[in-house]
Amino acid sequence: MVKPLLVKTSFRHLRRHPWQTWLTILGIALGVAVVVAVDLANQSAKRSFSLSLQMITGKATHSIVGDAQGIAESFYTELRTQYGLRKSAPIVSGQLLVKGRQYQLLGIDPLADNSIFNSGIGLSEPSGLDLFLKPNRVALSASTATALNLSVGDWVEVTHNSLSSRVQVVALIANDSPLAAQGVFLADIAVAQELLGQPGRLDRINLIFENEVPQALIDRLPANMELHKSEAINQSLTQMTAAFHINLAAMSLLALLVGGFLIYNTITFMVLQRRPMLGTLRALGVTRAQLFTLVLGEAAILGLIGTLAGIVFGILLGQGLVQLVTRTINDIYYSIQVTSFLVTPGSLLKGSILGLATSLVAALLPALEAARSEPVSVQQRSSLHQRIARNLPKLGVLGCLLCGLGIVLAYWLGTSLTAGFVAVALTVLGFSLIIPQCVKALSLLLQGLMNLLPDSLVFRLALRGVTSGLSRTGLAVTALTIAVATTIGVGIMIGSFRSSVDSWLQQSLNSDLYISVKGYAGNSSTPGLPKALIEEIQRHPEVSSIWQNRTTRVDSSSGTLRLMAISEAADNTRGFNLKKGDAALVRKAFFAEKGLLISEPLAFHRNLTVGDQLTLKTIDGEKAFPVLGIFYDYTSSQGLIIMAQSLYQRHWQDQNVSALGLYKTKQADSTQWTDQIRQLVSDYLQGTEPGYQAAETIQVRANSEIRNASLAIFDRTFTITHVLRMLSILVAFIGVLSALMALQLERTSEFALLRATGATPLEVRRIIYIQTGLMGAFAGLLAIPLGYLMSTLLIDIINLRSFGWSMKQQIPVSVIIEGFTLAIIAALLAGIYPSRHCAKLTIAQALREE
Amino acid sequence: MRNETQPVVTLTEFKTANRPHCLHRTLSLTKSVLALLLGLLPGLLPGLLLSACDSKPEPNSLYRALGNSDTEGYLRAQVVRPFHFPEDHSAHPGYKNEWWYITGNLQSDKEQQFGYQVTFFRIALSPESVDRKSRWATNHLWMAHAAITDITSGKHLKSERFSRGAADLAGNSSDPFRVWLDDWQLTGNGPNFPWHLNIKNDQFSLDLEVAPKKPVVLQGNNGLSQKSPEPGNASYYYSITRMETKGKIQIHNYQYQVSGDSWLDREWGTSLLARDQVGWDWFSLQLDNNQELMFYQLRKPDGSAHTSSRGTWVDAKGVKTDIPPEDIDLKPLQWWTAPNGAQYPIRWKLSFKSQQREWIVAAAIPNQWMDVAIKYWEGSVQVFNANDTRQIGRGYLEMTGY
Repeated sequence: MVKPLLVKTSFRHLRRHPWQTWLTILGIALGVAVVVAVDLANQSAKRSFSLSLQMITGKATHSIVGDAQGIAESFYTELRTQYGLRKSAPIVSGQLLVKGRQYQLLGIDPLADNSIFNSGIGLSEPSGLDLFLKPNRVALSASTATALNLSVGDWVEVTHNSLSSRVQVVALIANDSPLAAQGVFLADIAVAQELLGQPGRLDRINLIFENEVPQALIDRLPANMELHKSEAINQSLTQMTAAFHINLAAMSLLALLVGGFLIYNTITFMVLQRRPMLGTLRALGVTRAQLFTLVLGEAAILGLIGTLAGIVFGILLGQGLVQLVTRTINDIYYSIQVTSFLVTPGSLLKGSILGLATSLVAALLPALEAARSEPVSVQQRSSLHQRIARNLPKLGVLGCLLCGLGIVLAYWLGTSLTAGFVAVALTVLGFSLIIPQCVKALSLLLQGLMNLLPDSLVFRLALRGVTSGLSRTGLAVTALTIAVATTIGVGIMIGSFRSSVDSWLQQSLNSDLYISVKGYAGNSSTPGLPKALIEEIQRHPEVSSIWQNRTTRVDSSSGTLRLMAISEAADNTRGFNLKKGDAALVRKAFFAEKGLLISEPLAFHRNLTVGDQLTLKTIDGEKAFPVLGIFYDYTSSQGLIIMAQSLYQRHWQDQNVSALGLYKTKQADSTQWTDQIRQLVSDYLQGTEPGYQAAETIQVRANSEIRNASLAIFDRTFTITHVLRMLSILVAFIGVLSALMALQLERTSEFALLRATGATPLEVRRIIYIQTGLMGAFAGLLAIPLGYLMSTLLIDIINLRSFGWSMKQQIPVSVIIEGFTLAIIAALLAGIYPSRHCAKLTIAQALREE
Repeated sequence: MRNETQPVVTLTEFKTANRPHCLHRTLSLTKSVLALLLGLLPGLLPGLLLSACDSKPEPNSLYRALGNSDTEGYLRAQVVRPFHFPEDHSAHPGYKNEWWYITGNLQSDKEQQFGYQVTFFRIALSPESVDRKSRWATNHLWMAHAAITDITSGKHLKSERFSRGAADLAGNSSDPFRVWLDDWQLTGNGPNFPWHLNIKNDQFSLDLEVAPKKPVVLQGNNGLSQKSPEPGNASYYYSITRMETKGKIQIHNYQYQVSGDSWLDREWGTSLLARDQVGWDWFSLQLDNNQELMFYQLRKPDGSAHTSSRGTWVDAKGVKTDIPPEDIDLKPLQWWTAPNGAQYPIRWKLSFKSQQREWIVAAAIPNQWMDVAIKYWEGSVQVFNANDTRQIGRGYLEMTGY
């Protein structure tokens, strides 16, 4: 039993060291918060994702999807009136721009078999069916309506590509309906066709088959349509984002690792600091069991408070993160709509276990130690620490082994993404075990250097202080190193990625000016540029040559792929950025229609290489095309095919052109020329194509504009990574602050002795600053190789396996300086309070305590 | 204004006239149709549907909900009009509601007896025609009900469908004559008879050919059938009281060759019922001696017959005589309780005073309840002489508002 008196001593101690107590709690809370937040954000995004899918497929077991032109609506009529396939529902979907944001428009037939949609439309606000069927009427979820500041009866302008319409909100969708996803505009199918400007076309037909798919349907399915199982569609989309979610989870685990280290560190210090008092208690007759329970109980209570605070903070933080996560998914994968932020018990449990378990584990050894200690020995350095110090070399060897194992696993043994993460974890863990030895080595090295310099007692004292308390300082340095290394590693990775993308953009965008149909994102039904306009541009005297492309999607045996069909241009010197294959030869074969090129991620995911065949569904059925080369491409992690325009037109009968690249003649003045072309396009649009609203349909962009826009998207995509990186630094910062502070405070008596023997307060303060500064410097130094190692693994293993993108590792000096500075600042900040405290202390009293 | 005095009339009419489907004793016919429309979308407006059942109906909010209580702009059945066939077999889109209703009693070559009912309903949501880019755009809904009664084994199967009247999913044409909803179809031989009825569904199918044995009967005043005293609360209504029927039916996995007599009711209008009418009992009886009786008793809230109840007697030559409400006396003899608690009279004593006849009209089987979006009882009946209990005919009975 722990007596109330004992509890009181504990309480008193915590109260006497409020800084330390709060920092301990804060450290735990932050560690827990990051893990909880990332986990919650991940779960919410995943759920939104699956809801988005559900919204499209509903309870359908199968879907019919069409080719680039979609599905002729008459086919649906045929299905129902002739084949009696009544469990079928037509879907029209597309993007709408409303008040500057993208929303998904979902067009349904509310009168088609209702069970296709889970629970129907569930319009909560009274509104008649007749109203819903009228032109330009939509229904929204309450949250979307709120976000857009709309209520029932309001009109709002919506735009799809260049087509603008005013629509009226006639109903709110009940929040429990699966169609209530945020960011969805629900409309009658006729309204949707009109708003999207695609009368006559459906995007998909959802079907329910209780048993087998009738052979009759399979036989009658037109060549340009495909029947898919819903699960297969959902699965492939889910797989797409799996890598991304794993990446995020790994980031949060890294935060967990750092958080764990720090929690361990702070709790250990808190216990060790009280050794004298614990010894006294033992001398007064407190039993070992009581002491053990006391120490553990204290850690548990701090852990609990920290964990609870962490969960609350994590939930708040998660709400912000989920937006970032969703945005990234939207940017690189698939348009999803966030329904709501989801607080899953699983995530909270994970965070709680982390906070509590780490606190308890951290307190276990010190608690045992405290219990075991004899009253006499308490004033000596703990035997635990001596043991740890003795074993440090052994730990170092173990660390080297783990590191080696991690690297071997990464490069030679495993090929899966999970193996990649295990390898990273092993490497980081291994390295962290070596750090105390490295600190010792660095200190010795410094000492050696000291001998060459004029003697400085202050510096020498500070340095010895670091090595003598290696069992504790080592831990603090380790935590700081990992945190800083993470920022360096991720920083290098993102920097390398960005510069790879940038140089790729520069190479890819070698036309002077681009003209494209607005809003084309490889969307199936993108209209083409007007033929007459293309001819007019070609005739322009200062246009040296043009290059045409058609972006669309084609079906392969394993899903839909993006395809870009391009024409040859005299001025196009671009060598396709080939990863594999001889540029000149490939180019020749490519335009001779000998085959196609595939992007690196496609090659990676499909395990394709030069010489293999890729089977695509053409208008005349399946056809295998040889792979001529593999090119670098960062536009999509799902893969891209490039094909000669002539080859594409022959097999798909699609003469449309999505974009043009223009080269100016040598003598033309760049600015004037650009203005001329813009004018030409705008005149053309106003004059001849009343259907096109000038400049809104067709955009003319210089290559630099495209490049900047692309990089802006890139940066947006990595916001979440940056945020996580900053968060893990914050966790480390707080942890290091409290650990170092505790470390210095524990030495109060040492400093008092120094003062007694003649050291001035200034000298003591210097010693403390130098000491923490040295620790920060060591951590910063050691973080550089670890960060480099981490970035290498991230680039070579994790990114490649997640996305199929390879990139050139580049080490931005700024990232390293940033990391190093960060370490030193954290360490110096940690020195402020102890140095003030020690400089101000009354010598006699401090010594008496000793 | 008509609309002010009769605000309730609106959507209802389409059932009102004939064969309707109601939810609840307290609900007027009008509301039943509203509820039906609401019921079209089980998920849509669930609260409303529920409140319509649970509490005292508030017509105004319901109309607002439906947004379409107006009869403004629609054609009304107000004056006697000439009928032209086959043109009038096809739709009359200027009116709000219209239906094609066929019932019949059949027997197989092995003497099994069956009753069947198929109805196509057209419901306009607004009077103006639709001129939009999308072919899906519509202001018409279609609904169809089909049921089959296997009298010999005592089974009743039913099914309903809805569709928009667009994209060729449901609609009608006059030449060739065709009314359809998905793959449920009623098709003519060019514009003429015979009509071919094709109904398929998971449990049963009908594949029948129907051809008139008797001329068209214009009901009411030369086809203008007044349903309440208010002018315009009427429909245009004609019947073909006996049609030669043959073909195949299938129930689960069993197929039967069948033949027998069917009855066609065609009706269209914009508003029909008055506030003081809660439901009806609608008889269409075919006697073995080639005579037919049609009589609808509109009931007041207290259960008594409304003065607008009417009927027609058709003799063997096809000559019709109007029957005023006081000439027929209907007395329920036996009740059947539906699973939802509603009680329907399934055995009636019908006294035809001017002809001094008394009949017992009894359901062929008790449960011929249409458990669809809007519940009603509709089924095959047998007609007996009240004095000697000899069966003298067969027919169909529809009961709503119970």
